[in-house]
Amino acid sequence: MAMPGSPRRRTSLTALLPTAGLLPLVLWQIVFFVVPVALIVGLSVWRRENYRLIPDFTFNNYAAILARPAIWRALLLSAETAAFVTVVCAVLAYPVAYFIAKKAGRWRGLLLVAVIAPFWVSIVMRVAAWRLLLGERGVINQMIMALGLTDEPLSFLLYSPVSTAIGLIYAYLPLYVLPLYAAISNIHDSWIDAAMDLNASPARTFFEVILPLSAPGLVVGAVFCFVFGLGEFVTPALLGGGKQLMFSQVIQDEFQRRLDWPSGAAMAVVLLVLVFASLALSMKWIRRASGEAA
Amino acid sequence: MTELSPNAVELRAVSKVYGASTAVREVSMEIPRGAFVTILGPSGCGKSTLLRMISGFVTPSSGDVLIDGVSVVGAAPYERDTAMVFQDYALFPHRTVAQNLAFGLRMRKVAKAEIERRVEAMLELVNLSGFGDRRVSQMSGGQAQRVALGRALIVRPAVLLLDEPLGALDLKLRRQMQAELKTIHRDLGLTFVAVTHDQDEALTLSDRIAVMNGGALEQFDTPENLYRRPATRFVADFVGNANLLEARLGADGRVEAQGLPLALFLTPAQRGGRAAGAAVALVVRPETIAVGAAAPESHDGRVEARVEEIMFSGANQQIVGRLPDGRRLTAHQSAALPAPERGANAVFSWPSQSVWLVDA
Ligand SMILES: Nc1ncnc2c1ncn2[C@@H]1O[C@H](COP(=O)(O)OP(=O)(O)OP(=O)(O)O)[C@@H](O)[C@H]1O
Ligand SMILES: [Mg+2]
Repeated sequence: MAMPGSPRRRTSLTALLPTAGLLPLVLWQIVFFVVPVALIVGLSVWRRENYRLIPDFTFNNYAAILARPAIWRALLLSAETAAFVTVVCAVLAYPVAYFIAKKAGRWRGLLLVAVIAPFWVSIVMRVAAWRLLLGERGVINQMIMALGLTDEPLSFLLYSPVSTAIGLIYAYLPLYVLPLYAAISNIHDSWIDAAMDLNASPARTFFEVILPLSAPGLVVGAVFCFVFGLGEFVTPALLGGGKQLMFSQVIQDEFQRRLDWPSGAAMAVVLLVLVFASLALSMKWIRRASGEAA
Repeated sequence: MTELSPNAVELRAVSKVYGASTAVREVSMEIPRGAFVTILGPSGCGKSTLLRMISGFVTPSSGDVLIDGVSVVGAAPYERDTAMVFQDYALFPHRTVAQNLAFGLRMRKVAKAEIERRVEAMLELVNLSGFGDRRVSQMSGGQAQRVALGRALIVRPAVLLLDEPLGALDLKLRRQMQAELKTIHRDLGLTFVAVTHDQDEALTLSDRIAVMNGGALEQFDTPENLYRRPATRFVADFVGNANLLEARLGADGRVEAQGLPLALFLTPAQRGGRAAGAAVALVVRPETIAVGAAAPESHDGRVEARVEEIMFSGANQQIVGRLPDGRRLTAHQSAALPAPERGANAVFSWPSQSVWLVDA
């Protein structure tokens, strides 16, 4: 009922103005996220007859894919790989992030750039480099054999879940280092000093003060690694060898080889639900962790 | 048990050198058990460094640090029986007030029931009963200060170290906390060593003050001695307000203050064993100076000066006089006394027994 130009109207307008800055982001999200997801979700309840898509509202696709053991195997492999990669990344990233945040002094900027540097190299080139290293005649096998550790080259190094994991760990390490670095930088040196001053040994100080206050970074890094790992396609496709498929490869297979788009869409929705579930779970953690650090 | 040293802390010629600069230079001092000592000095004079050598965060370049008579050089902070109140309080943000208080006791493996009892008692002592479950981020500046104090006190350290503990508080809160700090010190009987660059705070709080300048210890004495009998020109100038008049000791106890007709007779104690002809500075405290048309009988130090400035500050007035040779002389006297006229000449006078000499 407010008249145009009345105070109430004006405040609501001025309150809206800053929000307008979000418009490009909202548009971007609608065009490149909401619409494709809506299409996939819609497609997943259609049915296919004689290689033709027929609009429908059925959950048969879901029932069908969940009845296929291969789907569960792929899902399990994806989850296992993602979890393994996440844990290894956390363990490797922590000392790196701690060193950069607390010990590097004026080298900090340079080291951060060094951590991010692999992102500037195309994923395909990085994977090619891994092939050179891990292959049967690759650098690592040549070295192991030259040292006389084995007679035969280790074949599981390339084209196996192991090589996928190695490639992913390498790719995701920066994703873990950066949030950890941010969290550890926020830990005041005087908190660490205070713990030691109150007779906490260095180990005790780490577990009582430093680690709990790193929690936001640990959780954010874990989410990055796990979520990306769960849906990762390029690295397993190029390094995984194709004998044991990860979930994203199965989806691609469904779309491109079997041409069963509704089933492929249903699988994609399953993956999406898993991703959102882990995000929701971690948001709760982050809120708790950052609430404590605030 | 071996006999305890009477000193909670003893520093023996402690120095700390950082590259080309010396932060602390050959400081020796004995801090008796139960004393409240403040380390006072301008910014950058090495106060924090000295404190951190006692707590163990800084290793001396040379010299020895003893706590309860035992050398602790080489012992890590977590191996020393000291507790520090940090300038930024350094409260653990992921713990509640009670958990912050309990931290040191847990690290010292005190039994759980005992911890709970002592945390409750400490909350009461620092006036925070009922605040135990609060997050530290919800505490005001003064409350956070009390938590920090309580967290250090609760372990009953051999020495409590405070680095500018009240520096972040506004003036009123600061005065209030000074009083509380003093009460707590008296009630607990622990040894307190505090760092401050606020001389009023040092004078009100402590039994003894260590005045530092450029890394060196200038004087370690009671507040009264520091004020009445400063050992150096720096101390005279830094602690309280002082008029410093360049002078030369004459024969038979007279003083010649560079052309000023002063007829002061100084006792041997005031002369401090200095020979006739020594270059000295006369320390005349503003509150010992009377300003008027004539000098009172008992005031044998007298000079005539032009009244340049009169400033009222409630109970007192500050009168600035300019001597014929351009030097300035400041007097504080009760605002109840008649004020001299600005621009007129007046006699500034003081009794010679209130005068102190330092080397020029
Ligand atoms: N880690 C260090 N490396 C190099 N120089 C240092 C270091 N710590 C302190 N210094 C120097 O030593 C001197 C004394 O420092 P300190 O912190 O003890 O001074 P302070 O009296 O506590 O000063 P403030 O009142 O400003 O806190 C300063 O000149 C400082 O720059
Ligand atoms: Mg300091």
